[in-house]
Amino acid sequence: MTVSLYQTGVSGLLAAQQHLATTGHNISNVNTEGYTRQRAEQNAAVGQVSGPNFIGSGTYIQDITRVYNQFSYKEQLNNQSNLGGADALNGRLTQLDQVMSTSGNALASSIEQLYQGLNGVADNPDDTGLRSIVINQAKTLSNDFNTLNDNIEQMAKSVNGEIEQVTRNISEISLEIAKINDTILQSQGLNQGGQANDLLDKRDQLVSQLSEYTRVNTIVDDNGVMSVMIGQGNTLVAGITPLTLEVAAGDPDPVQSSLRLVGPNSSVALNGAKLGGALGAGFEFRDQHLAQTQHEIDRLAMAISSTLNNSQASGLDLNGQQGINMFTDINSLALQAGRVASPSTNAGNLQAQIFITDTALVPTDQFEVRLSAGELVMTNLTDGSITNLGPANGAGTVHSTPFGFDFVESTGAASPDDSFIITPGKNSAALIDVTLNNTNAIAASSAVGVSASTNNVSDGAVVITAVNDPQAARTFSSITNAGIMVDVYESPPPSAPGAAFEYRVYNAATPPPAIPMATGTYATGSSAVIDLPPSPAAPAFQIEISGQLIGAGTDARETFTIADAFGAGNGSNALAMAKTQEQTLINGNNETFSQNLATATAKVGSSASNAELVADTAQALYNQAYNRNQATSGVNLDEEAANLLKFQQAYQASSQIISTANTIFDTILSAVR
Amino acid sequence: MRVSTAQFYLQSGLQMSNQNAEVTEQMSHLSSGKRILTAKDDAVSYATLIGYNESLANIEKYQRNITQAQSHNNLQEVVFSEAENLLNNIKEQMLQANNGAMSDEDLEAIAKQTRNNVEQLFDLANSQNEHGDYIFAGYQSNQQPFSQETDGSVVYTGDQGVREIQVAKNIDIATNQSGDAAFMQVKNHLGDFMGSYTYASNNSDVALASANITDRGAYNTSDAPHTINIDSVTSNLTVTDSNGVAVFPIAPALPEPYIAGQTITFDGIEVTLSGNPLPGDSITLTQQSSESIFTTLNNAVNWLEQGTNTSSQSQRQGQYNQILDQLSAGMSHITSRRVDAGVRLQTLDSLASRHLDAELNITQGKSTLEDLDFAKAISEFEQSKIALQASQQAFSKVQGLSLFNYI
Repeated sequence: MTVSLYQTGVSGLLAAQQHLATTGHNISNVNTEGYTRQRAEQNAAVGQVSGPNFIGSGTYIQDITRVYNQFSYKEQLNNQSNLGGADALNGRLTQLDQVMSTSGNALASSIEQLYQGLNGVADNPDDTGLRSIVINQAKTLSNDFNTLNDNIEQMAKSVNGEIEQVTRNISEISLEIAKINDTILQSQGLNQGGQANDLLDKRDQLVSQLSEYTRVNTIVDDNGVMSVMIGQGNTLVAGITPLTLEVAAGDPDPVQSSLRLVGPNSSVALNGAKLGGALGAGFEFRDQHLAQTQHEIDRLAMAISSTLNNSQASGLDLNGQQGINMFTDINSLALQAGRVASPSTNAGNLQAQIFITDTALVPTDQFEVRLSAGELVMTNLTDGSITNLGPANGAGTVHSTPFGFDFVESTGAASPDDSFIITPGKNSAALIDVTLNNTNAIAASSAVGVSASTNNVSDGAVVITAVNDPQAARTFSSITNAGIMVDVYESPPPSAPGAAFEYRVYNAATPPPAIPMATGTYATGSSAVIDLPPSPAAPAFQIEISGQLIGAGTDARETFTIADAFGAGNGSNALAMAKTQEQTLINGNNETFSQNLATATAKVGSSASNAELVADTAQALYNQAYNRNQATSGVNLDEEAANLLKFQQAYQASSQIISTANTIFDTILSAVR
Repeated sequence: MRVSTAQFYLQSGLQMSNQNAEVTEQMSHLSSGKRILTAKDDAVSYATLIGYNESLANIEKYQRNITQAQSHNNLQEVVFSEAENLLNNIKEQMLQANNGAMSDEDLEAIAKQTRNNVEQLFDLANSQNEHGDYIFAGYQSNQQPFSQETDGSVVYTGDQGVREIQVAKNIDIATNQSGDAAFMQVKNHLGDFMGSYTYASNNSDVALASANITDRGAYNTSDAPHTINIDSVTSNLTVTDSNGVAVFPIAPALPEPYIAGQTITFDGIEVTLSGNPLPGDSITLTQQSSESIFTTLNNAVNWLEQGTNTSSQSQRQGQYNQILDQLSAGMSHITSRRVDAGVRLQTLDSLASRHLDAELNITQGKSTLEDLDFAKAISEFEQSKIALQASQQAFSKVQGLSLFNYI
């Protein structure tokens, strides 16, 4: 038959209309987030056979498709989660870096001020003004610790809040994707040809949002239904079934909340730190960087309290009493119990405690103690090293460890496979407080002193190495005894082989031949350590005799007198206290207090600057992926403007065909009229 | 490459915000003048920087302590120089008194002057510092350390305590001397023993010239005190120990009279005598290696007050010599105490200048690490500023270009 020129013209008109509509759609969505430009696929209509020829019969729009490259889209997704994670970590660490650099500096200067005060007291032990400065500085120091700890806890709380918010968002996204899947499934049934382009865009946009929070993987099935996997492959959306993400309180530490993926019939725990994206970064920051910093601050607070408390205990205050604790006792019952956390899954009822024995040895790591085959096995959660604490013998058993603390079974008993998480420094910075309020109570004075006889000729010395009970030491040396004499001579004479030094310790009022309270010998180059009063009485102090004390004979020994040294003007103990500022008393006796603080701050700083580099890289990678994706799918207004003109002209031309057909028709009509 | 419109806006925006951030950060460094504001800026240097800060704080602490130690030691120096003057006066008075022409009244007048000087010295020994603490009381700084008994003797109730203060990492320096060390432990000019003389029976000016333990192995305190006797008939010299056993001469040697300058050795002790012993004289040795300066001064005053009227003029002269010798020992003791404080002041001065040097070094090191290189920073800042400006201008030019303008 004849080709309908009208038909052809109309088909061109319609095609141009659809093109114009698509172009218009593209132009109006130029700023729509996640929009993929669309294109009308135009095809020539199959021609009609006219004799030997095929005569074209116009055109039709086969499909309107998205210009979409799934590979570049997936690359962008992947980079988006990396960027989300890197940005979140960078932001958090920058904040922590600022907190540590400002609050940390305040802390460092209050440590310095406290020691400055102690130096003042060492110089003028009976000056009440100087003593009250020490107490005020100690209060400032404990406040600074509290504040810094508050800051850190506040950050943990805000991270937790963010985790909860993100979790809710993810659950909502999950619901929506499932809904879109459903709609797509329905619409697919109705018309086979076209795609629900804008629904697909909407779904991709949701996945994109999801990828900021966590690592995402998607699979689209033949029906166009998308399944979404997050993190390490846990299904979040299974076709039209959405699962939701929930935050569960941590166990044993409720603040260390964890994530669960909850479905209609299932509930699976997720490892937060492995999720990737902003969510993973939140967990990594909270459980690694922030926790590590808090452990450092806790340990510092503990070491300073313990050091100054011990110094106080070995001296006498202005009233001649043993010095009381300057800061909260590091082994108070509350603190001891707080260092052990028991998961609710434990079957036994063992309550355990941690007793700190040496703050210099305490690491900043956490430990897990597990009862396995009757033995308590302790694992360092940072490096995985294992220490066997021996069999669990029930209440009252003390297990010592090489880490400066004892694991104490206080009540109850553990069942097999029960575990306990140990945080040795837990709560130290939160609970540090000044317990000394009376200026007289600063123990500036030492209890006993040694004076060498002026007749002594050698370089030997007797020194007081430790004072456990200064009051008893004082009573013992000046009331129980009228001064304690130590005499030493070299026996046999120096030239003889195997020369040793023979010492006697006795009451000055009853010199030998009365029986001395202690006698003995020590070899050249070594020394003798003697507890006083001697066993079986509880030792109040300890002396060490050392050096080559060449007394000239049994009747002419070198002598030392140990006597009461208490006095208002005695600042020896304050001097010893002040000197702890420069001693390496923390981190395995490797650092001073301020060095330790500096190291902790520098650690945060280097993590923060690393995170910044990582974030910069992630941003660059994301930009590339974004550019690649936009190169394919993005709307370019110039291009659309050109298209607009092109299709407008096509439209006009098609109209012209109709007009031509009309003219032809008119010509025929007028011919026959 | 195909560039989408959204991409163009996003990229330009991102770039400008990055450049903005850079300019802001450079500004914060410029306005503070510091290269390192937080640990993040340079973690390695930050740790070093804190180390420097700690060293500087320590140096400041040492310097403060040095100032304190200097003021304490200065005060001692002043007190000891006063004491030297007083002792000089007393010695002059004693020399003046050793004149046969002096009457009892004259001596009495000199004794008054001397006593007055002793009182002043006693006051000096009870000096207090600016906090009201007694500087020669050892650790008992809130109690008056020296007190006078009714018989004029002076008792020390302080202790041996020496307060120390840290003036460098491993150096503690004393800020006081105990009153005991300052005034009570004047070295015995004779050596290890003082002699007690039986004035009633002694007639001569015999006295100990020196008495020392030379062999500690042979000396046994349980045999002390020893007594040197001059036989009332033969003038032979013998020494007996506390048990009455003759220890000099040891048989078979026979007792002989003392020859001037002879050294007598017994039980690890060596003794020489001065003067000419007369029959019946005896001296008992008391082990005492030091004497209080107040005892010496009291002896001097007593000697002056007893006047010329004594049984033996030669004995009086012997006593005088002993007192004057011990007084000289006292003077050199006080001088040595003054030197002690002076040496500490010198040490403090040299430490202070050492600290200043260290401070300078550390401050320089710190500044290299911490301070901003302004020339570099400003040129970088200018660069960033221009880059920002350029991208802003480029953006404003390019963003207006659209095909739609021409349709």
